Order: sequence, then C-alpha cells, then structure tokens
Amino acid sequence: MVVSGLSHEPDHQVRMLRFALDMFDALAAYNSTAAIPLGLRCGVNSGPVVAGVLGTKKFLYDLWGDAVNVASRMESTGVAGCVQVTSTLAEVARSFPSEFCVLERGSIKVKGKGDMSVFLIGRASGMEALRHRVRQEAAASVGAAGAGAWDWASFFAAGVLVGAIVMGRLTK
Amino acid sequence: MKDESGRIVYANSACSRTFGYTNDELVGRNVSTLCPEPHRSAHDSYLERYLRTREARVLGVGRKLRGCRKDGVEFPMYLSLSESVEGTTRRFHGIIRDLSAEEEQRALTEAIVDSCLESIVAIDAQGTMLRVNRACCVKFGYEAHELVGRNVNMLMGEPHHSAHDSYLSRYVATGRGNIMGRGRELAARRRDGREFPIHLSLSEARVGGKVVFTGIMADLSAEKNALAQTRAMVESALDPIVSINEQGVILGVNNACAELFLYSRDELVGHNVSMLCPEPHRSAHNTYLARYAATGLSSVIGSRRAITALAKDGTPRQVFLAVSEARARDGSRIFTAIARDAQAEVSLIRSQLELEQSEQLLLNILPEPISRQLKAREAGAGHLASAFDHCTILFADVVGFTALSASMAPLELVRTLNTIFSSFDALVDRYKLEKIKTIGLSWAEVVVVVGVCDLSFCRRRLYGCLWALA
Repeated sequence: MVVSGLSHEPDHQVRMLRFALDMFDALAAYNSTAAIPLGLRCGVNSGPVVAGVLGTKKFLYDLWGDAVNVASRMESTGVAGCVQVTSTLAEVARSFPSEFCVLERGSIKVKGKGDMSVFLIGRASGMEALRHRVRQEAAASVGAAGAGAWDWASFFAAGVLVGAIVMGRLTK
Repeated sequence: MKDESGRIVYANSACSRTFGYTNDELVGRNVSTLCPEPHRSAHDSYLERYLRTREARVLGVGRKLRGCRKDGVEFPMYLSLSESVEGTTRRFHGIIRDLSAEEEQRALTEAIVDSCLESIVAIDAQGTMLRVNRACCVKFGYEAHELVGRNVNMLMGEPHHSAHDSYLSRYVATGRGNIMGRGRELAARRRDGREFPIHLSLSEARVGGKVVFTGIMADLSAEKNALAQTRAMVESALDPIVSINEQGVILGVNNACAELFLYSRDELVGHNVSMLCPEPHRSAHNTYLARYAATGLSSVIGSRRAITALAKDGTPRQVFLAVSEARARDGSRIFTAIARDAQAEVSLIRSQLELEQSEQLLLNILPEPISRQLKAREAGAGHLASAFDHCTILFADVVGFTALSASMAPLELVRTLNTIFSSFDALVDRYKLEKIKTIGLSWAEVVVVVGVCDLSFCRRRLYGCLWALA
C-alpha cells in the first residue's frame, strides 16, 4: 500500500499513476530473467484519508478512510497486469493523453457504495494490450468460477461421504 | 643696565643673544621693548612710580616673568634687579636668566607622567597626595583636584585602607617597609567602591628636603581575568588534566583528574606523577623525562595514545593520553597531559550509535514527522493521526505468488521477493511517495488488513492463504 499527497503535493494523482506503470516495468525486468514469471495487479483511488498511528506499541503507520477501502477494492477486483482506477483517476489520466490510455471496464459492486464505474490505465500506446488483458481475465474467471463450482461439489460429496460413514456407524 | 628714563645704557653680548638683537640695537632703546604686554606699556609708569615713592616691587627681590624677543616670541626668564647711584646718576642693573630649557624639561616630565598608562601617585610623608597623573584619575574615576591634598588611603581596599597611615609612620620612623623597592599585589578601590587588583611599586625620593613617595600602580584586572578564565576552562573540562614540571612533579590537576583517579588534589599536587603510572612505567617515568630533556625525543609528546593508568585503589584506568609541552616564564618545561577516560568514551560512542540506529529504524517504519511527534508526545497519550483532504492510495498484489512459492525454497523465495520489492521501494523514493505497508507476504499482515479493509477482500486473501497451506 502506497500513498501520495501526505505532503500536499498538487500532482499526487498523476504521480501515483506513473509510479504504478513503472512498477510493471520493474516487474517485467525481473520476469525477463526469472524461471517463473510473476504478475501484478494494481488499484488506485484518491480522496480524503486519515493517517497516523494507533496505540503505544508496535507502531504501524496506517491509513484509514473510505478512499482507502475503495482503492483496495480497485486492486482486488482488478486485472492482472493492469492498473484499475475509479472515475476520478480516469479523468486525471485522460488529461495526460500523451502518457496514458484509459479503457472503461464496466461497473463493480463496492460495499457501502453500490455500483462503481471502473477503468483500466495503461501507457499511451498500450490500449490494445489492455483489451487483451481484459479478455484473458474474463476467460480465467470463467475457469475460476468452474473451479469454485467444483469446490462446492467436492465439499458436498465429502459431506455426503462423511454423513454416510457416520450413518453407517450409527446404524451398525 | 638702564638709566632713570628706562633707556638701555649697556647690554652684554649674552643679553643681546637672548633677545635676538645686536648690541647696538639695544643700547639707547627703552627697556620696555624687551617686555611683552601688559608690562611693555606699563613699564614707564612702574619706573616713574618707583622714583616717586621709592616703593620697590622687583628691585632686590627677583622675579620670574616673561621676556619678548626681537621676533616677538615670548620666553620665561628670571629677572634680578639692582640699583646703583653714582653721584647724580641712578642706574638699574638687571640680570636675566633664560628659563626656556628648564621649562621645557619640566613640561616633558609632566607629559611623560601624564601619558603613562599606569597610575602614578606621589605622596608626602603624611600620605597626602601631591600629584596624580591622568591614568590614575581615569582608572579610579576621580578628577585630579579631588585627589590632590587628600589621603592616599582613599584609593585602597581593606585592610590597607585603614592601616596605611601606620605603615607610613612606621616606615618614616624606622626606615623599614614591606613594599618599598619591592612591589606587591593588592586591591585598589575605585570611586564607585569596586575593588580591582593592582601591582604597586613604590619608590622614595627627596624633593627640597622633604620625603616624597611615588607609587606606580599597574592594573592586573585583565591578567587576573584571563587567569580565572583559563582556570575555569581547565576546571570545567570533563577530561582529566594534569601538568608536571621537568622533574615529573605534579604542578596542578583539575577536578576531573582527581575524580577519575580517586585522589584528592592535595594528594596529587607536589608529588611525582609516576604515582599514576603502573609498573614498569612507574619506575621508569623519571628516566623517560630525563631522556626527553637530554635528547628531545619522545614517543608520547604531541601524539595521542591509549595507555593504562592507576587509580588510588590500584584499579587500572584505560585512558587516551595526549601530552603537550610548554615553556614557563623562566624557560623551564611544563608538560600538560589530558587523559580522556577511554571506558566512558567507548560507552558514549556505543550509546550514540545505538541511538542513531534506533532513530534510523523508527524512520524506516514511520514517516519522519510522525516519528518526531511520537518521540515528543508523552507516554500513554491518545492516538496520533491527522486528516488529509486529498490523497491517492495504491494497492498492488503480486499475482502468481502461490505458484512461485511452491517451486522455491522459502529462503530463495524471500530473496526473490526482496529483489522485486526493493525495486518498487526505489520507485517509491523516486516519486516521493509514502509506502505504508507490504501486504500479502506474511499472514500477520493479512490479518492486519482484516481490521482495516473491507471484508470480502480479506476473505478472499484468507482463502488464498489456506490454499497455500493446503
């Protein structure tokens, strides 16, 4: 979790977007030599926060606020290899067309907020790559959903099995 | 020589020279030409009055007055006048002595006395001030007329203020004094009552059959102040300081020295410094000194070295020793050693380092302003948080971590992740962002996130962990 704007710098939003895209470059550099490549998923949001330390022991500087929760949600519902942002950040990215491209992805459910429009951000020349990622993700989530269904089926089967055994014992 | 009418009848060549005329020019001229005003205009009337009344003012008495040269310059002279009568001829004879040289000499002496920076006072046998110089007036804060004629003891601090008259009378009676011809330090007193140290040197002279004592008082305030400052500096030093003479005898130690070696000052001063050295140096120290005096070679002087010294109770003291050399006024050598307590030094450095490390650690965990506030706030105070109107927050998650962790030994895995996250940290620095925490690498952090982030996100992460465990 990374934050910008704590020193009230006016360009904290675009700075974070540049940072996010640079992270992908850094990871790509690692992947070029790695046996098992890694992916990265980013979510960015901006808004008011409270920052500080709680308690008197094992200090951890942390952020709290709705904007933080939404940012986390942007990441968790995001697409591997992409930066997913809210409409606020999409507007910022659009005002730097030479640096960024913006792809509207649709809407997601955010607890306490209802449906939110989400956008993917890439480098100015990366629109095609973004579309490709989204298609990949869609295909993977179908698989995951299938896997999830299989999970429930095996859980059910195991339950039946256990139930049968217990019943068998009881009826013995 | 002149006649009744005041005309010069005769002048010798010394007279012509003195007044700058030729002999011929003088003879026949009225003698008033040689007097400056107002006597010039009045001279004829003086003469006329004398001849009328026979009341002599200058005649037979002699008088100091001023003459006037041909070039108009006046000069001091002494005139003695006599009268002769031969038959009907009455003549006056004036003998003139030019006093210019004497007056110049006197003015020079005055100037020397007055321009002297030391205070000078001349008194008579009763202690009455006859003459004070300018420096004396300035130093003591009086005008000259306020001093002259009064007892000199007004310039002295006690006990001399009260006892001075008796010193004087004893000296005058017996010829024995404590200060005469020797000088001594004592306290002088200004007009405002403040006392200051002086060095008084006293001499005796006879002027016109009377005894005159002259005192020259040198102000020692500056020297005493400098001495006091040096002493304060040495005394307040935290490092032990000891100075010795060429024979190794301790001349002085500071407080820190006495404390470190557990001796009192008196136990150290006047004793040989070898008492602070362990064997074999204790026995050899005098040899070291003698060798240095003979050859000028030393391995100690001018360098800093770590040595072991000995305290009174026989326990060793590790010190860093720095010895320097100076010359006393009489040309003999004085060695000054500054012995820094090595033990204290090391523990100081260590604690300093620890402090710096913990500061650094704190800065690593918390943003600088927060760590400052944390250090400043009292223990048990409430939360430490501030609101920000607008910030940008980024969450990032490494995808494929599970597969990676399955294929790698744990240590190697951590090394890999460290490489990646270090490169991210470098980017954080470049864009001047604040990294709040690294999520997704340890279970503890996942749990922390449960507390602050929305639950669906955490549940999913928890499942991920359980899968990894499985």
